[in-house]
Amino acid sequence: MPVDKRKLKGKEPLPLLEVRGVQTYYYTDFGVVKAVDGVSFSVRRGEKVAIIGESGAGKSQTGMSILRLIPSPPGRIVGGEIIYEGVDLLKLPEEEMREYRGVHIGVIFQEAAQALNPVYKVGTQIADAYRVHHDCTKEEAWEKAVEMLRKVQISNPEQRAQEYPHQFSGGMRQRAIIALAMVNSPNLLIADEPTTALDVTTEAKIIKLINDLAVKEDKALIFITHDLAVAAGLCDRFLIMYAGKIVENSSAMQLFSDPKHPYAQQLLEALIDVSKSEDEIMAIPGLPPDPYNRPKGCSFHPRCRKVKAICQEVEPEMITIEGDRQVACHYYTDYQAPKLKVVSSS
Amino acid sequence: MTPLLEVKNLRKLFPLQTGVFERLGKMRRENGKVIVDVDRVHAVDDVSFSIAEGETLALVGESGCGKSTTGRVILRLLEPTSGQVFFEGQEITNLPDKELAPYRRKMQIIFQEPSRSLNPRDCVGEAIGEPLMVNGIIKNRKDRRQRVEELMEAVGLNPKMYSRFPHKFSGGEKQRIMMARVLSLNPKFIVMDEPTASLDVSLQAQTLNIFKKLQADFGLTYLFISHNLATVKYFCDRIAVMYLGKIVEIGDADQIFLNPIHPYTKALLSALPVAKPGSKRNVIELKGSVGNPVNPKPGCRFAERCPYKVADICRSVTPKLLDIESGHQAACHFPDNDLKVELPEVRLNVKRRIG
Repeated sequence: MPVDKRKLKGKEPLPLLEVRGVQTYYYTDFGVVKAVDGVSFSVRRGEKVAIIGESGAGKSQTGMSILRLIPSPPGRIVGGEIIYEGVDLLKLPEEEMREYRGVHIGVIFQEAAQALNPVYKVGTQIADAYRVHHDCTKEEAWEKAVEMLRKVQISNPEQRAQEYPHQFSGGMRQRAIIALAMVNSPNLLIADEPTTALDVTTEAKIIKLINDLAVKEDKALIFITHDLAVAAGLCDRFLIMYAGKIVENSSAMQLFSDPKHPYAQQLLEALIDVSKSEDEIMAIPGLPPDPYNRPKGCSFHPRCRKVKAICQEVEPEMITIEGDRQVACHYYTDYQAPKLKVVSSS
Repeated sequence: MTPLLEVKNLRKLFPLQTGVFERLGKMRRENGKVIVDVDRVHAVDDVSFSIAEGETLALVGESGCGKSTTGRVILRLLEPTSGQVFFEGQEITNLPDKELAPYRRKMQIIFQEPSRSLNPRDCVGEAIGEPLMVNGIIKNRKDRRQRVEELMEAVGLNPKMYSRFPHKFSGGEKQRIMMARVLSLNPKFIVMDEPTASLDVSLQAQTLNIFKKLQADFGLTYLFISHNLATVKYFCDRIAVMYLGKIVEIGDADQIFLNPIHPYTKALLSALPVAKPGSKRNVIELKGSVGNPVNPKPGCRFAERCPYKVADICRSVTPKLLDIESGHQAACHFPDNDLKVELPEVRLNVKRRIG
């Protein structure tokens, strides 16, 4: 397999996944939607990365681009590289890509009810996923499925494997989906809002399960959510997305103690959390931008409280601050503003 | 002062066998009499509470605990099996439809999914104005337009969007359209059934702030149904925690958060996600899933999952709501249990009780 030599020369260990300038566009009758617009980040082994954003920010599209599960037409990945263990996934033929999906990169979708096929037994679905990638008998695969259901703490797994998805409760279905995603022990797990439809008590259990199963030394997790509070308990790196772009890339501690991008700041202020009193919660004014007609300059400027003239004209570039921390704002601190004025993008 | 709304021993049972043959299967003879014993889901079982004017009461609990059913029975969108609902001192549970009509105007509801409550083929102005026409408050289109534009302004929508269709609006805006529609009848009491559950975190605060403002402007009283405790703490004056059709704990928001009594309340609080990275908390884990509400046995409904201890009394005697402190009640046989909830510094709300 082709190995990216540029990366091997460096001293840093190769990241598990490197996303470079990925652009996923949707070509519709009403115009082009830049769902993912030049997103770059890397995921190291053992890292838990959260992608945070409002609906329409492109966070799920980023996850699906990594898996190359963009419905085409109308969608298309028009640019960028997705390097997984030295291999550019975007250049692979479809058959080879299949070897990566499920085996190397697993996925948990938001709606557990829709991710399972209602007419097959839960055990069969997990066993099938195993058999596609392993040379084994049906019985061995079935045993593997039962073992996986036991691992996700479904009681009485032998019997439960024989049941159909509608016989499972919401939390159990989500567990079954985790079992399905983990059956081939992928190195990278992409969890797309896995707990949004669940109750708090179930949510806490599922988060713990994902943490215990999916994240080990050599594995990594990409956790896509709009709920900062849930991600705070799980993830150690945060990518804040707005209108198809990453606007801040920080560690959890950096983000929650000292957010740099105004959107990240305002998002934290708007977060309804028990550790805040009533007057500490401040809503973000306005609405997310229209995807067909994003504002000129910085996409966030109509809602930003630090907005200045340059923000309406020039799109800020991602700049690196404090080690590996990144932020895309002309005025991420007021002191450094003059230096950043020259930054412009094509 | 009489509370605006008072609910006494409200009960809603749903029979499982409704067909003739299903019921025949459940028929038996006892002392020469024929008895049909159908299984019943005890969705709401002996629930009592009251809401003062201008107050917001939250009904929290996991899915399937009967919180939405309670809201609907109060409005008589579902008929109660037994119990009474008093609105402004008048019992409305047995009122015939004609006499209930004026109360229907005063008591409204907002549902979880605003897009499902709006007809995609009606423009926003028509949607908001419809109750006005149906109730004969406004007779002609010109007056309707004027009134609707006033309402749109009140909920923070641009009146220029009068003839736009629902698909042009975001979830938060649709919820505001719903609010404008509900407000057109000048209600006093609104049941809010998870109004922000389908919204983005960033829009929840915005939408809740509008609801708060409208509450002050229009003198509204809310029953806020939710499973999100953080939202509830931000928005509500009092909280009632429900489990399998029963209220297990009720009190001021601050009382519930600072001094939770019932093991279920404690478990809910301990599972609450908190926006503090790296904070390791002990989640009180509940065994299994929410129990079966069909023909429940006497005893505590929560006994099977209780993380504290299960004594004989828990399995035989249904616990009643006991006074803990002023305005704070819990239904547990062991109100001084030592289950600890680790909640990193809950910040108190500014007191805004209504006198």
